[in-house]
Amino acid sequence: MSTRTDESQRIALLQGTLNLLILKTLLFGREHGQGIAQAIQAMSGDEILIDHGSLYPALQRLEAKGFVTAEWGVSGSNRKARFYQLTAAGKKQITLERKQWERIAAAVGRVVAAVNPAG
Amino acid sequence: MWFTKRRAEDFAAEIEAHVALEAERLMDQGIPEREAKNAARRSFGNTTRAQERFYEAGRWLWMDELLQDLRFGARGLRKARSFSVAAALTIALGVGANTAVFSLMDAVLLRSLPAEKPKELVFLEMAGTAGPSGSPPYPCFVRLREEVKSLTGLAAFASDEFRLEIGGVPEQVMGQAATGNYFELLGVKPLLGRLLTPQDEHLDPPVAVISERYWRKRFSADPAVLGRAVSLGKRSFVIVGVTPAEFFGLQPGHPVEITVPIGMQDRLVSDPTVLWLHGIIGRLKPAATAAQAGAEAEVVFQSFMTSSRYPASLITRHFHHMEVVGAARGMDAVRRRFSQPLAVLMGIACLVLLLALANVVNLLLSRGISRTREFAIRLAAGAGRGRIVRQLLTETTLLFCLGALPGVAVASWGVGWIDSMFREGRNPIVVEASLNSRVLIFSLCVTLAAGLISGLLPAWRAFRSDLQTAIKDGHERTGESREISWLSQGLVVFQVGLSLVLGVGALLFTSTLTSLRNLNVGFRTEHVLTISLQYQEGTADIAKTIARWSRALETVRRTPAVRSAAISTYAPLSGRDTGALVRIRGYQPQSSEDATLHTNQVSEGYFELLGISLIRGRLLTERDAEGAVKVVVINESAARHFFGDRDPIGEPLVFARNGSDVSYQIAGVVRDTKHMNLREQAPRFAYIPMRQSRDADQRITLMLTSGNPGREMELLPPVQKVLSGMAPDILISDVFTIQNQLDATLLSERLLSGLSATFGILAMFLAVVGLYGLLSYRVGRQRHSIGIRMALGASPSAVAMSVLRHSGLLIATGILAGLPFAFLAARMAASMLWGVKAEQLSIYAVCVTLLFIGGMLSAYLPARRAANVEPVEVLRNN
Repeated sequence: MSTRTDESQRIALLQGTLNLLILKTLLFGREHGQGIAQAIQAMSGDEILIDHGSLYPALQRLEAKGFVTAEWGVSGSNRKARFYQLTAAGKKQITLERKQWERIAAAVGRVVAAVNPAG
Repeated sequence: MWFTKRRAEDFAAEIEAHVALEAERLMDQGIPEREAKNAARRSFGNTTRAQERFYEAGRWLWMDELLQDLRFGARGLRKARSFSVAAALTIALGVGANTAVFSLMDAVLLRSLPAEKPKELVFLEMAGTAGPSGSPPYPCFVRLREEVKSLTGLAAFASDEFRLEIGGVPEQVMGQAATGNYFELLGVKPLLGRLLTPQDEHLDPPVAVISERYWRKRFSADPAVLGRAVSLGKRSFVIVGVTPAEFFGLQPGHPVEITVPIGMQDRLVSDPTVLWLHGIIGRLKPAATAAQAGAEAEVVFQSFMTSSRYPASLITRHFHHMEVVGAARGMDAVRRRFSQPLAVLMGIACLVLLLALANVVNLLLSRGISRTREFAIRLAAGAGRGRIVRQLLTETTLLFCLGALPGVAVASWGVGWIDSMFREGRNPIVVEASLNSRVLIFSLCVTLAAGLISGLLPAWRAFRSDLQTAIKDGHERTGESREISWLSQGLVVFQVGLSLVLGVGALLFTSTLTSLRNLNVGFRTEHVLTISLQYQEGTADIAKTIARWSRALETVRRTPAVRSAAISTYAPLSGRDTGALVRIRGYQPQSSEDATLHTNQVSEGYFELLGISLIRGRLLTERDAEGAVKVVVINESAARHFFGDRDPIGEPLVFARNGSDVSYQIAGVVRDTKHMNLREQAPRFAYIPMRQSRDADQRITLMLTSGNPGREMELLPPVQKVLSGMAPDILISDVFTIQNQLDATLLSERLLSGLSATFGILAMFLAVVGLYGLLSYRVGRQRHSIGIRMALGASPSAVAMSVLRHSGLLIATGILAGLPFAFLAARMAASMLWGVKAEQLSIYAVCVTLLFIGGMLSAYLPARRAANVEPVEVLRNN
């Protein structure tokens, strides 16, 4: 139960940002699903916890769109795992989604910081 | 669409790997193995759900569910076997009827000319008050070709029966002479060799192009056919090419087997007063319209006609102006003749399909009611209503497809039957109705549409079903809702009404056929064989030709088994004759039409053999020959027309012909005989003795009766033998009994009566089956209340009577609803009827009686079952 409360305090991901996070993580090199989830969590300073259940469908989509490729390999602990790697199209996509994200973040920021225009 | 290349197992392995890695990480942080593993799994969430999501994203889910629905549906149908068989058979008949009639429509009405851009093609025809009358003569064609600017090209053709000889064996085929640009204009490409070119018109020896059908039939599709010679008349033609299989010429129904170029030296072209071309076809320039071309052609035609020597009345009637009509579907004689009967047949077939649909819907409804509980349980177990509806629709469509398969078999049998009917007689029509892709797509659409429509109603019901009561009560006493009960009774009433309409139609058409068959045609139609004879070597010498034919007649008469024989130029009921202008003393014609007479040249014994009775004077004898007084026999109509009450015997009848008049003396008057078809009045006729003929035809009809009536066909081999013994190059063709010819004349009547009777019986049968289904279903459901009524003192006969009453009520309602429509339909078909009136009460009475009898029969079993209900048993079981 304690973990639940812990988790609910973490940031829920905005729809669509998961793609950017995954792609960004893969910019540092190929990684398997669990590794990606771990990396995101670590980089966000433990603020973002990836729902592992939605991670894989997201990877699936990215693979289908040709932003990542995947192949089976062996992990550092000598375990079989499926490794994902960024493609050229995926790199381009990062710039694209990053700009979009910045726009959203800025927009949200403005809304939150706004004072009542009438008063 | 993206289709996953990954298998579900692979994905599962990835998730396993993830969980293991996560557990390892937790263990590294000092968490005990078991707890770490659990936490790892927990952190992933629902692994099964993840796999499901993977699966759903990756597959064509609907395809999967469709397969599932199909499997489930098939299982259901297998379980309800009698239901499925009844429904599938009904559908088979409905779809089969539609497919067969549509394939006929497709062949006769819809098929386009096998040409390039057929929409640009136009026919140039003359017309007058008597309607279209063919194309203008060759010299006019030449001027049209040069002067009409809105056409890119113009081709002329004339088709006829050709007498071909290949390797010394004569035969008769449909052929045409065409201008050299004919094929180029149509855009037909050769299957083999080459087709005609304008230069071919001057080529000597001339060339010919044959059809694929003929190539296959006569030359076994041998490519070495190119360069072979065929004789046509006295000339030899070299085959240079084969037309593709889909090319049939320009007349649907009468495929052309050989095409030769119109030669400049032909009689055809050189004598414009003799020959009127069969047809002229042109291709419009891309921007031009038929009206433009028509206006241009009119100018040319009128200037041509001013120099012609035709009587004014003839011009008004036939050669008044030019018409330019679309040729996309070829010359439409066959279409004109059959479009009305075909429309009626299609209407009937659609009604039959509707009826079948009503039956299936009713079957589905009653089945749906007994499945209420199943649906309720599935709903309760979490199935979406949409999913259940989809499943139901799939099931119905499956049922329809199952029914459509035998339906197509029924159709292909029907198409064969219809096709053979068209091929009968002297002018066979090759409709080539086939189950081609267009027809099959049509019936597939009909099937699917019908499946969806009839599935919607039960599905809608399932959608609205009340979960609670359904589960609680099961199907036994869930009141079949009021609206459903009305619905299924309404459907039965609808069926009864429809079958009344179809039954009335069937009776009207069959009695039309019967009265036409029993019509007194004025001559014997039974046990007479007619054979067409033609000599290869024509001769212009009349005396020689007459001598030839009389020798042939004598030889045949001496043949054993031949009881009597006679010769005439034209066969009875062939509709062919020679028109002639005549002058008669004391008769003042108002128009040239008034002075025309149809003639036929006949041998002695002609009237006796055909049983045409004499009214006045005498019949023809062998002594009415060259040298004797020229005599002629006329029919009643001619006598009445020219002589009124005067006695025509001994009066002169003068044939006016190119200035040289020939006078005959009227020797006798005979009864009228039908000539063109059975519905038309007999035309004015004169019979000229063969031995005194003015021009002897190279082709005649030999009529025979046998010593063994009914076995006339057996005469053919011996007669053939003696004739070819006498003249090896004689061509024998068109061997029919007059009955055959009569049947061919009645083709559209036979089609209508045969099909409408089949469909009418089918309709009544379906209605009765529907009624039976409804009644027995209701009796089954009402066992409980019947039991109570009987326990309260109702007698079995009273119970049975109530079932019969119910049946009678449904039928009476159906009949009342159907009568106005039946009457309306009959009035619309009035022009196609003969010897029977649209409002003839007996027809309606017969149908009503038949329906009541059918209704009572179908109520018999349910009524008996109701009467046999044991009240004690029913009440105890509840």
